[in-house]
Amino acid sequence: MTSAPDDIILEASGLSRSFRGLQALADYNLRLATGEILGVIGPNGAGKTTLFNVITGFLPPTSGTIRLRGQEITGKEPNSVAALGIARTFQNIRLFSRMTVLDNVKTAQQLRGKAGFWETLFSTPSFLAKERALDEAAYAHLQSLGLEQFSDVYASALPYGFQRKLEIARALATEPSVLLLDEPAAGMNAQETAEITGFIRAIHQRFGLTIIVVEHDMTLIMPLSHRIQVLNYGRVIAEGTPDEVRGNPEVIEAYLGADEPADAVGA
Amino acid sequence: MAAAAPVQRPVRRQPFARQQAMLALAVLLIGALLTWFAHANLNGYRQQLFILCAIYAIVAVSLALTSGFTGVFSLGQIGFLAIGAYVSALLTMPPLVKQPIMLPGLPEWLATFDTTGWPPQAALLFACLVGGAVAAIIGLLVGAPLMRLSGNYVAVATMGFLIIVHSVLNNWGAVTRGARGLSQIPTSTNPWVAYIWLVIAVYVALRLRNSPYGRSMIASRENLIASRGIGVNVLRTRLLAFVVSAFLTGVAGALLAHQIGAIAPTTFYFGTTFTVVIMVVLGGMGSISGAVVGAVIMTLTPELLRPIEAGGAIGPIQYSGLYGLSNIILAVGFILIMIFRPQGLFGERELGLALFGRRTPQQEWAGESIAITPELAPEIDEPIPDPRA
Repeated sequence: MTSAPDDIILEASGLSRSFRGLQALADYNLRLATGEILGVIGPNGAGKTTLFNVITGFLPPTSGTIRLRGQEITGKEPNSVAALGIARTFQNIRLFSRMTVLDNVKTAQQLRGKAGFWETLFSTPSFLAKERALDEAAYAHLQSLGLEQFSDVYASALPYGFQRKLEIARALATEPSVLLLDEPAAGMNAQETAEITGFIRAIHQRFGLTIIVVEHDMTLIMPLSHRIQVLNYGRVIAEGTPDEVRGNPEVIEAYLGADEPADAVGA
Repeated sequence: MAAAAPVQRPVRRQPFARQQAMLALAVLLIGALLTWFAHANLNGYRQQLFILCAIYAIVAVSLALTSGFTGVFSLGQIGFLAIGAYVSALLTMPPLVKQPIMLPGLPEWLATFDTTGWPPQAALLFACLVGGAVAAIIGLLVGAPLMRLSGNYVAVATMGFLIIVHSVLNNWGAVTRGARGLSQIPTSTNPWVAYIWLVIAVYVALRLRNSPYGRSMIASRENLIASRGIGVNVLRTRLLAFVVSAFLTGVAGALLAHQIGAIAPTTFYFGTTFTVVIMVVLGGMGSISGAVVGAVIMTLTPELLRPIEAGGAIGPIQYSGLYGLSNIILAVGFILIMIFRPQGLFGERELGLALFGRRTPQQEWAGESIAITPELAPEIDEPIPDPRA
């Protein structure tokens, strides 16, 4: 649990991505320690979601490399990245609406083992055993996150806050070691934000996760993060502990508006 | 039962599993009875209609499998019907009508391939399997590039496949006899064979649906990006659905060829394509039993309405014969169904207890609003130890 070099779980070097001349991400570098919570903040269009899309394989980088536990994952397909242990949520919630909450989780959980085609076709005892195990594991997973009362409800029928939670629960069901959360508190009021902050904190410990969280809401990001990176125009303009970033004049100018007092940022 | 036993978790899985199994058995038996009745008692024309219902039900089920589950709207399904029909026909036609004078393009082994000495049903089974297999292989080759597309693009691209198949059938006269088509195919399809293959198709579709593969298919339909994010290999998932449905449709093609005894390219084009699409939409996209019901309705209704075209009387009102009236009535029926029940007769559901409102997923959460489990995070105010420290 120390910061020895082999404790680096995710490493990005020289990561860039441009869209027809627009530099969405420029020379991005990261050494993420196992168990760390990294907060990424920045104004709209700063490249935060692009960063997530590049790490998870939805967008290939224009240049640069990404390594997970030393293994290069640059340019891999999203499903392969997920299989290697990076899960994510989305800024605009993306659930499987016309599937039950339980099936949402099962679909993610089956990444770690499912019945084969011929087993399925002939509904063999091994198929039934695997499906039953999957079913029970998914239910237990929902139970551990306080979602089990919804298990047979369509995902689209959930109250908003629980949709956010289900999306995180589904990502966790892929048994990731790194979890990327894209604006988990978007559209939430202060109380809900506090609750989701506690939720993230709890899953961080329980699942032994390393987390990168993108968020605008300082009341979530400040108490949660060990370290914060500030992105602007695709570049990291500041990096440090929440306190360091909070006091950085460049950050205040770029992100929070120059005329705003620094203490308005704090949580 | 014992009150003292600790409650592990509520028993909630498939509370009606037993009833559903009984229902499936009942449906299977009724189908078998109908088949027996059709086989033993119906006259030729009605028997053919029964077989046709079963064949189109197989095609509709396969289309529901690929389009309904994965959301990849395929307009090329009838191409596989054609491949199954032609391949199987070329296998079982007697060598006498496959001679170089008639079909100069056939390789010698196929021209002399003789199943006339086989038991007719063995030859048909063989023809069905080979027809289905060839359709599946072509499905794999066609699907590998096309299943990367989505939405309108895949609909247009699969239609391109249908047009190609149709052009080949029309113009490769040395093997297909062009627009004249193939004839003298042994007419060995009977109600039982058609029914058994329909049962197989429904079974395969339902098995896939209630499996990891089905969940991946539906997940990729519901949210393509999220499904990739949780590890679904979308191309492989779609390809599986496409190839399995190509196989089943290929089998249906073989049954069709051996029902009529003669096939021509006109059967395998837009008309049939849209009829089958209507069957699936009518039954409810994503519902296997809906596809079967849609196929039966679409096959029988035009026949039942046909007498109307001869003219007659509705009560006191006399009207003269009008050719095409049955089609107009049918079309008005569809429009009404699409207006009042756009999800189709069955929607996403299957025939079963769920249909009677017993165990369908709730559309809306009706419970009390609950706070987000604070007990999950008792250590909420403690600082998180920094792993880098």
